Amino acid sequence: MFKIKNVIINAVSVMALVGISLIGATGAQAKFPAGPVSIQVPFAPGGGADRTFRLFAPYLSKELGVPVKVTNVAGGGGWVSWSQVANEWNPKKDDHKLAVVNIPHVFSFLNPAMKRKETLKSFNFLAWHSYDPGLWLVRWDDERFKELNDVLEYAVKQPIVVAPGSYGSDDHIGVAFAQQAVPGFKAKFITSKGDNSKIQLLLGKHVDMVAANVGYFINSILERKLRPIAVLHPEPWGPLPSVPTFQEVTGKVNITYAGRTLATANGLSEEKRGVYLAAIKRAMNNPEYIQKEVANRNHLMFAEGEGMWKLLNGGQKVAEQAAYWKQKGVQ
Amino acid sequence: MESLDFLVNVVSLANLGAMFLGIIVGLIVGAIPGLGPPMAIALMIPISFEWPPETALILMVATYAAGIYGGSFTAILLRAPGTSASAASSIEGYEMTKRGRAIEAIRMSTFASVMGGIISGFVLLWLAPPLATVSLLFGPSEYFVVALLGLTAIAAVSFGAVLRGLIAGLFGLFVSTIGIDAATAFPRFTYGMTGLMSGVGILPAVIGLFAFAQALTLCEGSPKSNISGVSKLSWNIWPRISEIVHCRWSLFRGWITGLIMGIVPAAGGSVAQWIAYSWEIQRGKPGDKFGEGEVKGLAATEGSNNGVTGTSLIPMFVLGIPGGISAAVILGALMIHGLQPGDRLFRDSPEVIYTVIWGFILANFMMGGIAAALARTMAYVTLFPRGLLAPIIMIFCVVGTFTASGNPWDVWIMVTFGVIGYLAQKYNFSPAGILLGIILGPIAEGGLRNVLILSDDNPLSFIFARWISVAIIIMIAIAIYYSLKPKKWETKTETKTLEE
Repeated sequence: MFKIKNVIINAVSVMALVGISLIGATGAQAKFPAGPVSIQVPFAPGGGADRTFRLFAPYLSKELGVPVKVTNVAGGGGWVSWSQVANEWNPKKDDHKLAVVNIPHVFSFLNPAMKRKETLKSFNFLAWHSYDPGLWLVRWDDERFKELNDVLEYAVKQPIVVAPGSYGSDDHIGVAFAQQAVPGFKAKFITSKGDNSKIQLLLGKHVDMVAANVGYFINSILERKLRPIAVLHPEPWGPLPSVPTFQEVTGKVNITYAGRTLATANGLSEEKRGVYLAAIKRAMNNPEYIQKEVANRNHLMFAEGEGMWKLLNGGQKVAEQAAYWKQKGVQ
Repeated sequence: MESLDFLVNVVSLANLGAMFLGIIVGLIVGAIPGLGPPMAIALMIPISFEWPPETALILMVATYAAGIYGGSFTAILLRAPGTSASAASSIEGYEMTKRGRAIEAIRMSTFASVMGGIISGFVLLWLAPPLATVSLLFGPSEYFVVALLGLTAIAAVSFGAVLRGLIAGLFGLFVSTIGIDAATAFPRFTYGMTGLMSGVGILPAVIGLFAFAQALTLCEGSPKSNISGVSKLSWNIWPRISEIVHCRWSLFRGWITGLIMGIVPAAGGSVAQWIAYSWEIQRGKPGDKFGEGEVKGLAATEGSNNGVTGTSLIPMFVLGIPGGISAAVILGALMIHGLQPGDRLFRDSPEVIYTVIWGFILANFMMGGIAAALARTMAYVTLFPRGLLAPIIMIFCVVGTFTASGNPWDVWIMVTFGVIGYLAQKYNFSPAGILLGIILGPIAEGGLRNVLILSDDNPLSFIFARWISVAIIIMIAIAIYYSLKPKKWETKTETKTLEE
């Protein structure tokens, strides 16, 4: 009798525990995200992308209602992180992870030497976060180059020394386009590590021109140290309205930019995608965050769905046309 | 002295609190192999998000100074440098520890670092604009010859076994070519492995070559013995006047090397320490015992790596050109707080920039006090049995390396270099030579390639037309002359017998 009573008590306890667990699980399922969310940056701490998303994290956290932390998975020019995102992230196990995918860096899969099997379709892109068009700059006091035509004429007569960062960067793509668009355009590429090094090379008169993006260089322009000569965008760019586009001056299309997007695990449910997307959108509209990014010289540009894919496909087309990997060494 | 007016701003409770927090975080994070100053500073950004800009930036610069210094603790006590900037200190520093002189090494390191930081801070305060202009003179040609100057240190750190040292250096140079070539976007020696595409990072290499290799070496001895061979630690945590006088010229040379290398973008403490160390070895006097715990060598390396800290901020504050990763993260914090580097920073926000610079100087003072208080406690690790220390160091190596990049490949690279470092040390192939090759290879290669492009394949005429390059080449010639000349301090012949 005593034993039966014990068995009944135990059975009821187990059922109660199971019931509570199920209720808990149901509750947890209803609430998404249920715990901390991470934003995986594909470069080491301290870089531009890292800085931007550390700035973004508290605002996204406010919208999602859970802590948002930034993690760094560096290496392989971004591919250590991106190959995890594209091939290894599981929609159930990794549903609390977001990944930063940089444009045009990710288009390095187009370069046959890289032997990558991924394409744009390998990623579950959520939203476009920021956009920074290409810009060509010269020294403020360089009398040789008053306008873009001076640069182009110079480069036809003799090679112009340009610092476009590394091979295959968006800045390099812009110069590669110019070589296709302007007959006889010759350039010597001086590789450099990062935008800071470009400023040093130009101010120190080691190069004639730098190919870069608007954001990082606004300050040097306001300081009257560097002068913008052309913006590589379809139309004049908001923060630099008086700077002509390459297209306006030459009639030839030359568009290049650096962009940052957010992606998530392939196969993530539409419901969860929707939660992230709505939170990203609201966080990016937070006036305080916008103000911080203005100070950070980062141009926010939210895009999702078709708009985002148009940008992504357009970017890939630009990289394919530039086909920098087909060019042989030094120009 | 307009800048003096802002000194009083620093001594608010908030600023001193930020300074204290930065120093504690910097010391801890800097001491753990892998978790260097850039990561510590990056972690401080969200914490100081809502703080006034000067308080937030004082937090950053205090973290930076303490992070560089903190790396020396483990370098000296365990031969496990916390940062790449303190790797050279592990040579003489650890030899001193092994001879029961850990506290002496720590107090000299503290004095050299604190004074180096303070002098560097005053140079930042008073000479920033003219020195920023000098930093612009460094172009591809100068980078190439600076890297060559650094490579001459291989002869010094080989301790007599020059041929083996050169082999080690060449191996390091070869390793530095692994990864995607920045000039052609072509993968070199990667064999299709994603993890090798970004090459062998300095951090996993330095942790492996020194810290992990040290853990393997510790496994050799009796698990119950300790590394210092003593059972009690000295209470003399403040350096004696006689010690400072003994090392005065070494300290001076170290500080000057650090101040100069700080303004050379992309060089920094990682390069400065080796140049300062080789300079000391070349100028050694009879009775000096380099490679066996010579305090002059430690004074020079420690003086140089903290001498870099203030001047490396000069190109960043004045021109927006950060000299290293730490300075780049501080630049990010500056911009997040709505400030822009350049002339306008000094003109429009002097209350912020001068308060931050004074904060940096005072942070070095405070760091000296905190470090002195912690020195003896930290030195207790040298009394731990080897059987306990070796696995602890290994754990920190793995955790630190993984945390720094989140990349599991880096952990394997670190372990591989740990084995290489262990064997190199055992067979006298200078792990420092390998590291020098890895650090300086990309600077030399990038510089030479750019010189070849600029000069249409006539590099000599191009290089010799630039006065800074010529001055550095003269320094290289002097360094080679001294490395070939018999050292006055080398009284022992046993190392020479190792020569082929």
